[in-house]
Amino acid sequence: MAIQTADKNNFKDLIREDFVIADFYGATCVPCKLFSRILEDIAAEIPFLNIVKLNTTENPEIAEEYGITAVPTIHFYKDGQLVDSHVGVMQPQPVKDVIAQYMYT
Amino acid sequence: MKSRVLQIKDYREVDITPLLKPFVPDEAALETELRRLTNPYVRWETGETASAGDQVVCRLVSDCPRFNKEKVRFVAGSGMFHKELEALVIGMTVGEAREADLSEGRVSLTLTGVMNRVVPELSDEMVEKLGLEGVDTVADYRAYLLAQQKDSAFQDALYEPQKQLMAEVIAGSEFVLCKEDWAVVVNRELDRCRTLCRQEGMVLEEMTPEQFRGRIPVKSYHELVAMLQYDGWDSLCRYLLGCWYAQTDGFQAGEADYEAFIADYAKTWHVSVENAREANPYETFIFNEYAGHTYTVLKKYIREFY
Repeated sequence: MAIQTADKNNFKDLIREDFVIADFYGATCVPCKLFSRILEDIAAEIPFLNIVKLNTTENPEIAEEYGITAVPTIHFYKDGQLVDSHVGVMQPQPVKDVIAQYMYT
Repeated sequence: MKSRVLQIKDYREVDITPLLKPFVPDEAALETELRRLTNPYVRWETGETASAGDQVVCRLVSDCPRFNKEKVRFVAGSGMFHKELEALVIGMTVGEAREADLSEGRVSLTLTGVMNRVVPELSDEMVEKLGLEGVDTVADYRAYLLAQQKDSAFQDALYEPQKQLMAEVIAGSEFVLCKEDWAVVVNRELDRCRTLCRQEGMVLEEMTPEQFRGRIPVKSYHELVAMLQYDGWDSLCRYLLGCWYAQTDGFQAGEADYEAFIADYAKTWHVSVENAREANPYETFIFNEYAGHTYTVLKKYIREFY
């Protein structure tokens, strides 16, 4: 599965190329755990999908830099550019809809 | 406190079964959760024929730039690349070519590679690796998930029967309720609100409806006072009932519980321990613990019927 854990040292590199889903989560956030499971399901379905998870509790400076005020926040990047975002848990189909919209463009 | 319970209504005399919604297992959710266990064990094996769910690599030739690509990879049937082309590729073998007339133009698709998705059967070994105590087999795990579902449904179904049972127990019990105790309860809660607001840089008595929004479900200080005064009697009754139940079931709340609560509060709300103590004095904590114990006792009784 293409789920990678990011930190302040590698986050920017991990979102730089291709289509990437960045999941900003909190260590003790229950909805974050729910969304994490949804992402794991999608990753099991699409193994070449790039998913980057960033723990905002451990990396507050990155969270601040990217304007994260609540978790989970989901950013969708295409070649380093933010193309879509969502605050709160996303259900699988809306995530797939965003993937369909940007992954192959 | 001078207030006390004279006679308590036995909650077991209250028939709460008509108030409880029956539990209906969500089989679809159960199956989804069981299938999820196989996610880490999914294998991708080089294959010859494409089926739904397989990774495919194709060469596309078209006048439309989006579909004129030497190499494109997608999951057949996922709907994430192009529904018609994904459907077209299902059943094709490597090297085979097909054509499609899309609204975007004519596309020639050649299948150049397939990775078949292989999902293993759910096994006891997979369950064992979860490391859940007493959950060693698929059957155990199913039962575990079902119990979780039932617990969750119970929490959802609890509010109304608990509210009604509480109302009946309070109405059916006999209390001596002293006005000064009621005033203590009301003022304690008011002080707590005042402290919390001050810690946020506001003055409770001067707060605007906008400032109350999302914090306390009232629009003005006077509404808040009225609400606390109204709730004060029942809070006092719940506290007295909680003390009564504690005498028989051994429930206790003390300094150690308070310290644990303060530490947890400070961590949860990202405040200092000093602020946590200021907002939650020991006396308020103890009062709320015993009042809350009444809820716990009634909840346990309701659970027997679920």
